[in-house]
Amino acid sequence: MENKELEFTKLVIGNKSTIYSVCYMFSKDKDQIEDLFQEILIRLWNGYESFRGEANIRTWIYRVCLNTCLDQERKMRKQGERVPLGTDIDLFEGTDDRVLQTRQLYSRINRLGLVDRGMILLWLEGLSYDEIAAVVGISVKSVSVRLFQIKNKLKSIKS
Amino acid sequence: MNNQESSESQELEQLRMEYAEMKARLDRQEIINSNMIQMSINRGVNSIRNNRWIGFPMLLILFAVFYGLSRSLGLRLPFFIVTLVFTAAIVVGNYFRLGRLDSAALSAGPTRQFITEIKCRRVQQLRWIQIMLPLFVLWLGYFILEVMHTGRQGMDLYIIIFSLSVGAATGLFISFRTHNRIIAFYDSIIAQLDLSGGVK
Repeated sequence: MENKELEFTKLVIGNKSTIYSVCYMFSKDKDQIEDLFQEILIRLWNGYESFRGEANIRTWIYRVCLNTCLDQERKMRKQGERVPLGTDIDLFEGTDDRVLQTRQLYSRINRLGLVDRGMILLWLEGLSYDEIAAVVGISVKSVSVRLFQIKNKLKSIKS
Repeated sequence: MNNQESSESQELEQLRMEYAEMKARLDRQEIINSNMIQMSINRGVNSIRNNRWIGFPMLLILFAVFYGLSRSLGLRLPFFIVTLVFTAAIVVGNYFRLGRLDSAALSAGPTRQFITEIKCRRVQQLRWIQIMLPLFVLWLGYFILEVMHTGRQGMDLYIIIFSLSVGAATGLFISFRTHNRIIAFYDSIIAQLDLSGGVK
């Protein structure tokens, strides 16, 4: 393997949980997660060839992941397929109350709109408002307002 | 009320913690290995961009064909030169426009600035076809005049017109197909990146 390919492999392995989590949030089953994962890898590799380091690599990875997932879902909607998100997969192990509560909240997130889901995902990932703004391409103030609205929406969605 | 809000905030914070735990679990699992990554790398070659080289061998073939046509039909040198310059302009133009698709897909600069750049390129692509189409019609007229100048009639003339029609239709088909692919590519990037378009 060439140096560039080795570096890329390290980058992917170092961020596999992030990529997988984003795929999970936008998929209906494991097959779709795998397809999305593959597609993201291809786009990351295409991007990696000429990634000029103008942005934080983490921000860039999130952007590619989110855009790929949103693109796939838009395509599916155009094809008329309704995507029941996050029903077959369960990454939260356990059956105690705490886990059940989290699972319910997670299923509520899956009922948010595409962009809202992407933004709350970035917040869950622990990105700062500055980083979220860089990924989504809106101002930091808009991120703050938007996240506040999303959290309110989450509260209003019944499990 | 305050208790309820506090409980909901705790829920979100709880989710954040669960999310972090889930990621830690995923990190410990072998979701992906080097072989899978290698396969993706091999698949990740941009087929549209690679097409940009095809024009150059085609240019050589066209050179030979038009040279042969000019000699056999008695077409004049200025027409031969005009045809070559026109074709070369298309091939070189395609090479640069398709080559730019790479950086278009991959730029990591600020999103807003990037979307603006992509939209500009899309407009440039539309202008390119708007300029090339009338030029093509002009060239076609020049070709017909040139053929008439040779004084050929009857079956010879029909054969030339038939060949011309087939050649022109093929050229137009390839040009429009490439144009549509480039426009579709830009559209898909704009749709992918313009996340904030969905934020009301």
